[in-house]
Amino acid sequence: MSISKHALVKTALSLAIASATPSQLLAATSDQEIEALWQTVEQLEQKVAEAEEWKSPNTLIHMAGYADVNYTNVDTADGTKSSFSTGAFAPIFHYQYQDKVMLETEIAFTINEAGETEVEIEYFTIDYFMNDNAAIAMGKFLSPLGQFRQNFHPSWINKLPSAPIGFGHGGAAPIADVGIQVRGGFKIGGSINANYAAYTGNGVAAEMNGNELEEAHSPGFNIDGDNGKNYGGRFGLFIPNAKLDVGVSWATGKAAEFEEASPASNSSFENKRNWDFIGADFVWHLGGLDVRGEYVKQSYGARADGTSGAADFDATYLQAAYRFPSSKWEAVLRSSTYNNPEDTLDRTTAGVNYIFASNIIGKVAYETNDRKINKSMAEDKVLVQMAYGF
Amino acid sequence: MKNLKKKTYALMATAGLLLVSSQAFAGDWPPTGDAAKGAKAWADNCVRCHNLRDSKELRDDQWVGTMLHMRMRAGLTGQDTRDILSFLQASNTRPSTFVRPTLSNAKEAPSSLSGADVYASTCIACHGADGKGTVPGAPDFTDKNGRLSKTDEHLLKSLSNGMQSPGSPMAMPAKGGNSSLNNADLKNVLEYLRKTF
Repeated sequence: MSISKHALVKTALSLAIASATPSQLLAATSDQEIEALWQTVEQLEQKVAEAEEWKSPNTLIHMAGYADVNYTNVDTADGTKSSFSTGAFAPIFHYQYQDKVMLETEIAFTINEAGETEVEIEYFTIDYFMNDNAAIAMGKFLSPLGQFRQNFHPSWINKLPSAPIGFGHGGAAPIADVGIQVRGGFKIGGSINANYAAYTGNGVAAEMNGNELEEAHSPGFNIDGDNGKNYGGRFGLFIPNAKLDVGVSWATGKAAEFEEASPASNSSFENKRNWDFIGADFVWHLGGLDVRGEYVKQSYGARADGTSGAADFDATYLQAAYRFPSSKWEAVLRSSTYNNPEDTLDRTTAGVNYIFASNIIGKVAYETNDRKINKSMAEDKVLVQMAYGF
Repeated sequence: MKNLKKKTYALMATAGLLLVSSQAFAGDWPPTGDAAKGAKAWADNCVRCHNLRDSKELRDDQWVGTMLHMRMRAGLTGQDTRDILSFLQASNTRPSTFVRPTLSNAKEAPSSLSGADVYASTCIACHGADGKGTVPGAPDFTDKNGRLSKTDEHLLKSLSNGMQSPGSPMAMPAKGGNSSLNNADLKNVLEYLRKTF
């Protein structure tokens, strides 16, 4: 080995060998010592390669999800009641093959008032990532209509312990569907990000009590009761410089009826109605201020024989949250309204959050629930929640 | 029967289109992205729905699954997803404890970047063009009694090793998540901060 090569190797080794001590480096002048150091480099390279094995294997298994525990004090015309309760424990499992295919499913475990454990698959899809701008998801998915139900409802994301009125199960905002959807994003110029979701699925159903349409139902039926696929989607624009996210949603199709007293199944579906949906949503940030709102409306057409009329379900919410500078405290105020054929419900919720970590949030809120027609059913609540996203 | 045939043909045509499309735009594996662009995309996109997650909350492999999930949920492009993933994977590494031996003729590696370049590529996503911070917990550099009132030695240590601001849910990663920066780059950006804010 020539002197110049010796010098080169010494320089390279001094840069590469993390485990060698300064005294070893300085003393490494003989061929034997340099050979020993080369062996150290090889061993380190092997260790690094082994350590990186778990970074990106072809198949990855991953779990995320959220959970919450609650305390509620309810003040009604009949008196005051308080209870501790568990919310949902909702693990989300991901199995992915490279960045081409992902199986994802969220399973919600809840305990009902009788103490029994209930299990529900919130969504379960196999996603195929076609290219940088589109992915196809088939199976049961969260409704891509609007934002709250598909993105904001997990308790560690929702800034208040309760949902806006009309955005829960049986409300105006569709919950889930079983079908196929294409979703993704693309750039418009250099300053706007567009995102979209288009789907077709089994659709929604109307829960009837005789000739009265009681509730809009969209749990993600595993059969198409009206044998007519619903289709629609959401288109959103995100402008990073303005921290503004806006979206519009639209869908149409048919809705079958089922009786309130009997569970929805293929044999119980009857009477096909027209069904339409429109929605709009936004999110805006300014420093520690986070403002978001949404409007959704489901319209069920009248029965063809005229024995039951048309019915609309619409809901709106507006929410502002402020994170105090250099602190873990956040204040939140939300107003929401839900109009259905029976009544108009108003919910106002004010809360304070303590953000233990970005995914662990303690919430305390005071909430009023008023009705325009059934005024005696009004109730005020104190809500306490601990939410954990994982 | 005719209707069923039509549906079958439509499905086959759609599947064919998808296959052609996916071959033309197949992503790479393992995913590689631009960590500096990822820092901005991370700061911009994640707060659309939830609090910013600290990169140190998860390991590199956990971020892979999380980011593919988030691509579906948030309508991110594949490129944005890879960029954010690269940023998170680069910034969750604990700072090295290795101390380079000091040789009598050793010289510090020179910087090829100006302080403005470093700020624009690595810092601006969280600290903003005006230095007032764009994400919760980021300090206001224009505050005379704020972060920049500390000594150069203290600030260089924070830049090099990362730091956790009081009251912030997330830590600044070592070298702002850009491990390619050397000590001279950090000195340049500190000089830029002092001159600009």
